[in-house]
Amino acid sequence: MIAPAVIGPDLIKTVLRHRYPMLLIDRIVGHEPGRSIVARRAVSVNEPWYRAVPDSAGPGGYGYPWPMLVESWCHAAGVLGAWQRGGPGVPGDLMMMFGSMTGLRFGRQVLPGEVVEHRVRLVRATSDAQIFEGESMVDDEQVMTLGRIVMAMRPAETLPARAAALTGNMPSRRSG
Amino acid sequence: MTAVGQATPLATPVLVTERGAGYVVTTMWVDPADPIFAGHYPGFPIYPGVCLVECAHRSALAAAEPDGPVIELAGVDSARFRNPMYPGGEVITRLEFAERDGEWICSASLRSDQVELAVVKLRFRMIDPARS
Repeated sequence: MIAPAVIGPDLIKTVLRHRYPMLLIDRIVGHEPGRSIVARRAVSVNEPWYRAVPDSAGPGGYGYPWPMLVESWCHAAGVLGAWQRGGPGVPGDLMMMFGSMTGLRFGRQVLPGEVVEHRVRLVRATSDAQIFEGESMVDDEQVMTLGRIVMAMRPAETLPARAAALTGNMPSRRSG
Repeated sequence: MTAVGQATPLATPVLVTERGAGYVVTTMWVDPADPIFAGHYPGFPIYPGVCLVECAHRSALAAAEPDGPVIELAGVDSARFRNPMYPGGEVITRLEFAERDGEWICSASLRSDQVELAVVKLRFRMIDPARS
């Protein structure tokens, strides 16, 4: 398919199973299929992670939780990885599971109102795993470095029995 | 500690259940009603791996001595995910700390029942308490 210049949520949702409140990228603004991707994410104080922050909290209470920034970056990686099986607009049936992550460093806190740009590069891909690296920027400032992220791509039916039993509740997109 | 009142994806508190020589154990209930499961994933609830990392992070903050140095997360040296965590269960986290070059390295292993979930190594820096 011919990829449009900006890939928005409509196409992102065709390759990620993540949904509210866990769909953490807003748009893809650049990509080299199979090689790299640049995604944007606007941080809002209305996200559920801020629900427990009391009115008495100072500015330090509003730092975006690092694990969620990692998750957001990984969603960009997931869209990049999807080009291996056709790209946005071509539904896949693989679940993206974390294998491992190493070498993550965090800079200054990201705050509501800021737009984070995730840069992801595909380092290596095998039939059932993908290895990514990259960084996240706010304007020209690097706020996160990711040394090595390994994602396992698994057909849902190969997950342990407890999860597989639940797939009966899900509208299937499997072709076979 | 600065942990209370900060933004977090964890819907339930992390509780310290045991303090021993050089280690701390915490527990956290993974509530099936946690709204996060609606989107991760629809019809196929799996507790996000990053929330296990956050559980280790919050456990380390909860384990820190109140009169000790104020620490903040500087990085994740490594996190390896062994088995998925499903809704409705207790995450048991065992942590050990070591100081290295002015930073704290926290090694955490997470399990639920007898299932190993993840092994996480976190890096903390000490910060000026006046800043937070």
